[in-house]
Amino acid sequence: MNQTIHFEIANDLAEIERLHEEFSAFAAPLGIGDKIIFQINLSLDEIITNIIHYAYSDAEKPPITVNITVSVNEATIEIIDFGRPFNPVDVDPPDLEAPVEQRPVGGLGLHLVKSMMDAIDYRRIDNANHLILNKHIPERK
Amino acid sequence: MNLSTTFHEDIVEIILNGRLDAASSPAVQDALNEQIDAGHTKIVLDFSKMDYISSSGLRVLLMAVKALKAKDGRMLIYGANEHVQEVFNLAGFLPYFPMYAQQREALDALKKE
Repeated sequence: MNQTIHFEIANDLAEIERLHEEFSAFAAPLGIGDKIIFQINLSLDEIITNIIHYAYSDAEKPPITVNITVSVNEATIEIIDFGRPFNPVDVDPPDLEAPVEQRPVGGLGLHLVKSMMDAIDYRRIDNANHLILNKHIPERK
Repeated sequence: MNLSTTFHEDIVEIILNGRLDAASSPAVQDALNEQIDAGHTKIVLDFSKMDYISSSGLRVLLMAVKALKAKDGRMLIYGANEHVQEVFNLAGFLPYFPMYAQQREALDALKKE
């Protein structure tokens, strides 16, 4: 049976810690291991931090919606914002091999999300960015 | 995130307690800059009480290690949990930040310089 949790996140970085606490409290009793909870929490953080920093101009900042559904062997994470169109799937990865002097200081967040999640899909629907992340859950305790 | 600083001769140790994310990274950046600007070139970071890091945290650490490198300085980390180590690994940061399990090993590695 699928389990679902829904969040409305204000445009405030302090919301991310609350989201992590609530998602962890939801996921741990479902038998999802610490490593996958960490990876989903980090992915939520990276995507939502980007939205808070870049998606909106100063004036209006509607809340960000997060829906997470856990099935037998997969977590599906949907993140919806009404900011300017941004497709993270198209962003090139950083040069991970560069010597430290030449390593750019940004661009790592989406690389971490793509590394930790199994699939990432973007759609622009009705003036909203819909990002769907999928994470395989190997075995439930 | 709570930060505290201790000194071992010419080595500065910064103890990070909590989460290193977008909300806390400005304070960590200030703490690192304060030591680098004061002329310290050997920095050890205690990660044993740090349970979480995001790319915002990686960013301030990378800026600090670049500033240190320009002064022939070094920064080492000890006590990182497995989740934090995985983030460093996926980011390609392990070559920039030598990781040690224990404080003694990290301090010994810097004293050899």
